[in-house]
Amino acid sequence: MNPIPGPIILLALPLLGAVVAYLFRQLTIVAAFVSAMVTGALAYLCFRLPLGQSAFILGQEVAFGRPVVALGQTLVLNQAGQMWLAFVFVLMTIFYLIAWRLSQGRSFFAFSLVILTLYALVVLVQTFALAILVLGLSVAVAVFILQAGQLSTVRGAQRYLVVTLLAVPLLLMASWFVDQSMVETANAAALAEGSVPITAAQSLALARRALLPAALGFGLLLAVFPFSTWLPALAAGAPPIASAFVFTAGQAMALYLAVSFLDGAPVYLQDATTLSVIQLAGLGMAASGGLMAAVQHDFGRLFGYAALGDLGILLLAFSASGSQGLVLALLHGINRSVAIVLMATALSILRQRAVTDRFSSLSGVARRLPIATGGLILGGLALAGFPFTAGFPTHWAIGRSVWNWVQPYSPLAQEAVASAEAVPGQEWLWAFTLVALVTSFLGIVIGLLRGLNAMLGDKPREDIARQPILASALMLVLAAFTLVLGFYPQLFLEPVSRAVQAFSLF
Amino acid sequence: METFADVFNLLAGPPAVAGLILTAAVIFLSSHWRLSLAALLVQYLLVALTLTRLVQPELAIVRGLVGMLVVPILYMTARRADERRMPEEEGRGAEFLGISLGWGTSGLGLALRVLALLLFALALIRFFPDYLSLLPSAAASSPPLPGDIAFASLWLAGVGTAGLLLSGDALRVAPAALTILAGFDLVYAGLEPNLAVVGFFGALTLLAALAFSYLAGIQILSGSLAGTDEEADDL
Repeated sequence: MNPIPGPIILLALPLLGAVVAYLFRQLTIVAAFVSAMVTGALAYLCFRLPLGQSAFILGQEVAFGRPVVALGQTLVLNQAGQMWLAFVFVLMTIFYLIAWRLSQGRSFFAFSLVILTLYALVVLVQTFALAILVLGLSVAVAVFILQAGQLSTVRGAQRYLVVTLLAVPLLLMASWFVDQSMVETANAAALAEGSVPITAAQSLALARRALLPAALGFGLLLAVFPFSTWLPALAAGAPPIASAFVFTAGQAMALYLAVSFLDGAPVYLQDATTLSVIQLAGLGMAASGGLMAAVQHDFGRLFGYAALGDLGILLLAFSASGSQGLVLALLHGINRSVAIVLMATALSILRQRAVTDRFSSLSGVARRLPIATGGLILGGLALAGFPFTAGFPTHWAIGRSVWNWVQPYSPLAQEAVASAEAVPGQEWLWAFTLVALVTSFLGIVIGLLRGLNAMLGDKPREDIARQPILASALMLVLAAFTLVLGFYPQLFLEPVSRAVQAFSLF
Repeated sequence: METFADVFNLLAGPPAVAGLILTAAVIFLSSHWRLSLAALLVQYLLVALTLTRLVQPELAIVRGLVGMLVVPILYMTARRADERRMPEEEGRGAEFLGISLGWGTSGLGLALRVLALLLFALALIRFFPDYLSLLPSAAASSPPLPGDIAFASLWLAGVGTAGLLLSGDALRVAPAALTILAGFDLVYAGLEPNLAVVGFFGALTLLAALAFSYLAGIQILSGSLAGTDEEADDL
């Protein structure tokens, strides 16, 4: 009997789960259990099964790395994709357990499983243009779980859909430019019959045309300033766990495509301008996220801006840490995901019990919901990079890398290297970096303190039900994990290194 | 005597491009869903007609079919919105051919939309040569994109973007976003022969229309029937 190819499992299992979850959408416990089982099993397979050989699962031979051809497209799982999907499936298992106790809308389980199928397809298809289109499809489906039938503002979901629809054409065009540059390079090499090798400069010139649409496209997808308005709008309006799904799994897939794009056209990273642009974008996001977080009046938007600022830090990790940049960025991605899940869970409890998350209506809530309040603050602090939390080690490492990068531009260093040719304005770069990093940290902390101050009160709110036991227990586990990651940040270094090995970016 | 093919070729040329420019302008200016959705339908048919100059007719027909599916999806939601609209909401401000003449009826009144359209037209005329030099065909070995199609694609993309910036309602944002995708398709269809990409692009257009329709439905329910959660939550 032929072994089952991995791509079939990755595509069929979530789809089957989606059908079952949809049929049992009224019975949350069944839908949650089926969904968590599916994603848990897939996460296990992604972590454990080798790509190079077959293995036996429940007596059935499975060839996880075996390619499948469907509709003329080869679907195959690579090492990076395997780790990426493992991360997404683990996250989703946690989300389903939380959504079992804290309703995120009846469609959440079924539709999110469909989205996971599309994410798997993004990883499996070998054509970048197709991967972009499939990601676009996943966002269109995500609109249904982000709105979740709530008769409230549609701003967040609509903006998320619009920015993705704008990003898709730009990225398709960028992909076409890259493909064309490769074809032309190959043609030129063939014409020269090997006597005149194509230089890096020629290749760069051919591929450079893709830079602008690619930068705009990924800027839209990754909520780079000034395209970031959808992120806080989503956090304010959508169910918190659904928002967290987009901020973690959705952004992870966008990042995967960005890294795959850069891996396919390495000339971009050889150009210092590309890294500088990513770095400035990261600084801008960190600063704007922190600044806006400090002045919000509700926890939803505070959550969105904190996630935005932290996403900026992730971009900084990628661009400022040299050959270890991707490792640091992915480690930070895992740590921020834990913080986001914790904050989203606490926000869910708050919205479920107190109905609103506006500061002005939360007086006395902290005494009634102490665990949720603690989760909100701890998750927020982790996003800010506060010491002893999951965010701190990577924030610290990234901060040091960025500082090393900008130090040559400081006035003192410039005096020491007087012969170096200075670009106008770059002497301010170190100051901007310092302000951005400090603003990112302090802004989120100030926003959290304002929120905490509003939640404290003389008397506990008797009109609010007590905190849910199981959801609170789940949150305590997440809070403990946030603290553990603060002390042992290397916990996920091995899978992250495996994912990075598949790329040869630097 | 002219054959059908000659007439078809003639229609696929400047008349179709002029029609595309007109329909995009109508979608941008009109605040009435009947007019904008009719314009969107015509726009999709004209896109298919224009694309017959660049790709195989079968592929162009697929684009037309996608448009013919997209418009009914939005139509059904818009029709429902009309049925649920409060009586006092009707008849506010003067209208001409379904185009609102009032200042307060939408994000921006007709006068400001016309001004925005004129400004964009001037900018397009100024920057069109630069845009042509950026187009993929200028860099590749593929045949160059005809100037009129390039102009139409930029017009659709630009007017669609302006529409996105000035609109908040899902029923106005949807035609604007779909106009951008249609404008992009005019350029991209000739470049990408991969059938899977064509299919997925069509699927994305359809699913996006469905998502916009859902959001518009939510807006309708929250605007006129607040409190009836069950209907929307049934999904």
